[in-house]
Amino acid sequence: MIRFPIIKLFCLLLTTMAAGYTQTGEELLNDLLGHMNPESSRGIMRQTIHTLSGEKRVLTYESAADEKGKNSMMRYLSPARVKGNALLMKNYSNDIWMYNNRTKRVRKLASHAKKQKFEGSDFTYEDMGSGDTWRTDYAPVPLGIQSMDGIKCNVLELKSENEANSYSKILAFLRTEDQFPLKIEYYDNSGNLEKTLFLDNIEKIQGVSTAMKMVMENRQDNTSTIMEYESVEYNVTFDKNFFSEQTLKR
Amino acid sequence: MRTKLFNQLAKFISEKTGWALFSIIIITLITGYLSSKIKINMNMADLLPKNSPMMEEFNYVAEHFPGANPMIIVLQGDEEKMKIFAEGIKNKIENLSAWIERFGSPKIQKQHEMAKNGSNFPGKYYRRVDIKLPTKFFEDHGLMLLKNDDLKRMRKLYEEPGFLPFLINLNDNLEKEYIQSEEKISTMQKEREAVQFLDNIETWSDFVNRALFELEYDKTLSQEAARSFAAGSPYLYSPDRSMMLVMAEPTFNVLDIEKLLPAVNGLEELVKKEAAKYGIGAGLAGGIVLARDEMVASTEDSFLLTLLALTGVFLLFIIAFRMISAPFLAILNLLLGIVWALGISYLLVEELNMFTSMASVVLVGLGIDFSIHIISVYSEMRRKGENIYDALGLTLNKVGAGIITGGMTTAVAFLTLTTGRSSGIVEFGLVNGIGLVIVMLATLLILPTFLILQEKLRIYLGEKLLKNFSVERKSVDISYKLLGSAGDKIYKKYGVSLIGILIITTILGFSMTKVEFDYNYLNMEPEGLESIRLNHLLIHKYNMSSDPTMMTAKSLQENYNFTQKAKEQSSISWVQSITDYLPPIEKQQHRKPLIAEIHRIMENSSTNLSFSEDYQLQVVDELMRLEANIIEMQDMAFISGQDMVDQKTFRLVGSANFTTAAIKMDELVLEPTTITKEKTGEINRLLAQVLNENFPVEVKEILRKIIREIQKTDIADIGRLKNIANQINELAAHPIMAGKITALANNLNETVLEENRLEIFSRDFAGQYKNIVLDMADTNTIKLEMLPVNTRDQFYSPEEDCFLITVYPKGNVWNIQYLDTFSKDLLDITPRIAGLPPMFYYLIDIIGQDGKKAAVLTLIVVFIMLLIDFRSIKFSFLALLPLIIGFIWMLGIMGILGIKITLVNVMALPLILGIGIDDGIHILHRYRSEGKGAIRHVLSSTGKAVVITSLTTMISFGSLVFATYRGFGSLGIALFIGVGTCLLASVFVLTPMIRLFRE
Repeated sequence: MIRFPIIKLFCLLLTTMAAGYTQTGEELLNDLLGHMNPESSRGIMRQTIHTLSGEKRVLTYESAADEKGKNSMMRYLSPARVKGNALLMKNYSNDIWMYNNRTKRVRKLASHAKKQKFEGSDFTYEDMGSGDTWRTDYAPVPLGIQSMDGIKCNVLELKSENEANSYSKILAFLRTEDQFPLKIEYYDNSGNLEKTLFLDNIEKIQGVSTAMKMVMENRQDNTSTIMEYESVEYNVTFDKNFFSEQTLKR
Repeated sequence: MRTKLFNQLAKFISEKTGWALFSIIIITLITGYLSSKIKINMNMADLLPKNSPMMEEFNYVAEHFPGANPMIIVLQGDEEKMKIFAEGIKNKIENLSAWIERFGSPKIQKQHEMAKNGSNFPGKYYRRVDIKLPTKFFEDHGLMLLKNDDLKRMRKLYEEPGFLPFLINLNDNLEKEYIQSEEKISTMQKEREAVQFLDNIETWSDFVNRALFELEYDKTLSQEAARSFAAGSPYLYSPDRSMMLVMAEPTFNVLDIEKLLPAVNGLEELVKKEAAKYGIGAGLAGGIVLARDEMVASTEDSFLLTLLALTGVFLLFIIAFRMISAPFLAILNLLLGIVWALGISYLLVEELNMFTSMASVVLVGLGIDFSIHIISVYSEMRRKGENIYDALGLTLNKVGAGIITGGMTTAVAFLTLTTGRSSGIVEFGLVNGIGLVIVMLATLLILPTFLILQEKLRIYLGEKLLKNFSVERKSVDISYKLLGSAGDKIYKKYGVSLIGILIITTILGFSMTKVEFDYNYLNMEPEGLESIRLNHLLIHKYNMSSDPTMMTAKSLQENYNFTQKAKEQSSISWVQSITDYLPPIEKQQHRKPLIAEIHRIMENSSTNLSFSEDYQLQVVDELMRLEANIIEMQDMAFISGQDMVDQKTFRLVGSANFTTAAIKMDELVLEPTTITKEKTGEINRLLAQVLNENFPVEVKEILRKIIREIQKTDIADIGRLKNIANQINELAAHPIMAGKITALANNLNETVLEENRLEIFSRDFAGQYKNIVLDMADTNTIKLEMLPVNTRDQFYSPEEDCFLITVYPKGNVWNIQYLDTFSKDLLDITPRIAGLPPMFYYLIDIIGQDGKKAAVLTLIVVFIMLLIDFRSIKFSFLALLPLIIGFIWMLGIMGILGIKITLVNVMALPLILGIGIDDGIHILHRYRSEGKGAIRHVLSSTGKAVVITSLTTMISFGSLVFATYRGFGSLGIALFIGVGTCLLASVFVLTPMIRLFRE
């Protein structure tokens, strides 16, 4: 007779605590990077860009990544004229090599290339493979909960801690349900919104939430790039020499 | 007061008809003379607010740099033929006046005579014609023009003169430049620089190839090779060299209409005639050509459409009134009224702009209404047996007040537009508002005079002669009984009618929200213009639109700052500025030590070269390395979407699609067990891609044959597949398919050059290259006065107080998203920008604001006038209601029909508020005078006049649909619909509302 109200009260207290609990910036950043950089993955992607003269161009490539995005590789599958050309990024895009299938040559890009556009897209090499560097380069600040298209989202601000960073701040909108990012805004060093990444068509693949479609809209250039997974698998074990120049030339 | 005035007027016309006629003739002669001086100027700049920074800058640039908006002569065809043509045409263009006088068509000669006899004819139409870049200046000061970082990166290229070291350094540099740093081609400006660099390599390879493989060795080719690498091809070729541009700087600006026609027409005739002799294509592009096209179209439209509108109105008049003489007199009256109005317009505005150029059509549509009312009542009075003098007095007293109220209401609606900021809208309101008042006054004087004259003439000549040409004879009842009967039914079942109207209005109100704004300015231009087609081609070939935007800087430092900022914008394709020739002094000082060092090293270098036995092989190796570097650039450019670089590399290393197809085919026939249908299909797809690339027709024909062959061949038929592989390899050997560097490397690899040709060439090249680099490594500070005269004139004002910067947009400026980015990018640099694209962007914003303001003001003014007229809020509201409903219906129908709001037809929105009110006023006035329950009579009598006046207005505006200038068409159709919906609303909405409110 007496215990029931006590249990009820205890449950109510727990619920209230849970509702009032707000995650710290670090926790949100951990969640964000956890979703953005799975331990290892392999997949086939379709990239749609617009050329400088405004034509649409679709490219497909196979990609592989391990150590939470520290190392990654991609190889073009189509169109045929660039089939076999490949790119290797190591140490969070600080080291980039390119392989050309027609000349059979490998070239290393300068380290500053990571801030440049990735293959004509609105992503930079850094956006593609920055991995855990956000932990050291930016300070996470939670900005509370906002509704985005009817979905409650935690808003996380990443404040640049270094003038050399590509962005002055990054705003990530993580749905409260599982802290999966739905939108990420990138602000340039003058504080203006430069790009927005939309993560769509979220599916669970091998238990990992995956945005099957990512759209990067460049507000300043008025361009956009679409990246879509044709297939993806996680927890892939790569040969220890997989992310090397030898594999690049395969 | 009004009665007295009208009586006096009737008396004057009746008794002093001769004097009245004399006054009409005198006024017509004076206004006729004035109206003959009026010109049409379709320039968009004239629509902007006079005191806006853009307008100020536009006038400033027009005054200081009359040639800032150059004429672009677009050549298409064989590279060499275009070059010869350009060299030959330069003088002819600079002396176009003489050419027109000797060879021009009579029409152009006449235009030229008029320009010559006009004011300030400078003697020539084109001050300067540029077919080449000032390469000599680059050869003399080239290194001082390079950025310090570029100098550091490229210094090795300028320190060793030998041919082989040159090649090695070039490759080293390319690997640094394009492989290690994608930043070099990450923006349009940088892409352009990359294309220029590749173009230098192409020109260089042409001369090397000729020097090594022509029968006789020509020493000058080594000099040309060295020079071309340093300064590039001087001609303005497209990256694929299928197109060349020649720029002609006019001595007049786009506002100078007198010279515009002979200058553009003459030039067009000249280049087309001459180009045909060389077997190449030639056409004109640029803002001035478009201005010519607009002017020709609008001038022709203005005359033809006025004629069409008058004819339509005349025919309708005959059908409606079943008489001939009265319509004839009404049209004659209207013509004279328009002449008067245009004469006064000349005094008000001097030139008609894009909006006011169709004033005569507007005045036909609205002005005829006055005549309809007068003739309608006058003929009625005469039918009733009144004599001509009494009939006139009664007519003026019965309809004069209505004419003045109706005319003034519409005129005031027009005049509210003068509160706008845009000069275009202000002048539109002024010309049409005052014009309508003039036509109204003219009608009150001219038409009664004509009617009296006609009657007097009839009496004088006798009844028989004019019996078929008389007003009096027509005594048939021409009231609209059907309309009256329909109105009666609506009146009785007003509840059902109102529900129906509510449903229709809701549907159309929803559809109204679908109406979009057409941001493409070119959609207003006449269809099929060559200048627009060439503009699209320029975007495709050069990533550059021919609609430049200009800005001026007061100092060299400001010029440098603006130029740098412009070059950083991704929306900008090309920036032309004096900074390209004259870097800031401190930058030059900074570069001097390094240039001096390069100069010293080069000066001490030896050109007395020695050659190893495998020298030719080493050269071949480096050429192959060069080929590989360019192939890698080609692939990166393709993946990165840098089309211009991709296209440019075709000419050096061939088509990537074709090369890949050839390699894959070779691989397949070498290992027949790997052949699959999928693999041959992939080869075919690659070859099909080549068909989309820029190759000659004969090459594409061979390709099509190969593609068909592959499709037909069984994959087991190895012999036939090998045959196809051979065909592909044969085609690969074609110089066009191979690319110039690939061909040079292959030729040198396969040929044993006689008489030490390579060594002799290498020595000559070293000597020439050394001299050129020593010239380029001049450490003297470049000063303004050292610039070539043409270059200085191009960028520095004659008053020596400002510098011109010309910015070419990269994309289609008539895509609103791009235009938005481009305009904002420019406004970030300075608010003082002048050019069609940002002006259009600014104008649509201002016109939007002005349109809204004018619409609200018009409604307020109209309501006040209604209050004065009816002295009743209820009746004023009732009169306004059909206008509001008609307005919603108009936009709703436009939404359903997919008609967009354009820069021109946006005028229809405030206009219809002024025009559409009349019908309701007339019906309500008549209803008030007839009393309750008289709706059948009101609609069959006044309804007739309302229908006819609306139909004449609709016919008049509808004639605009046939305008060549499509902007007018969009205005015509919007007004046609608007007048129609206001008429329908006046009958079908007002009738049940009268019942609801009144009874």
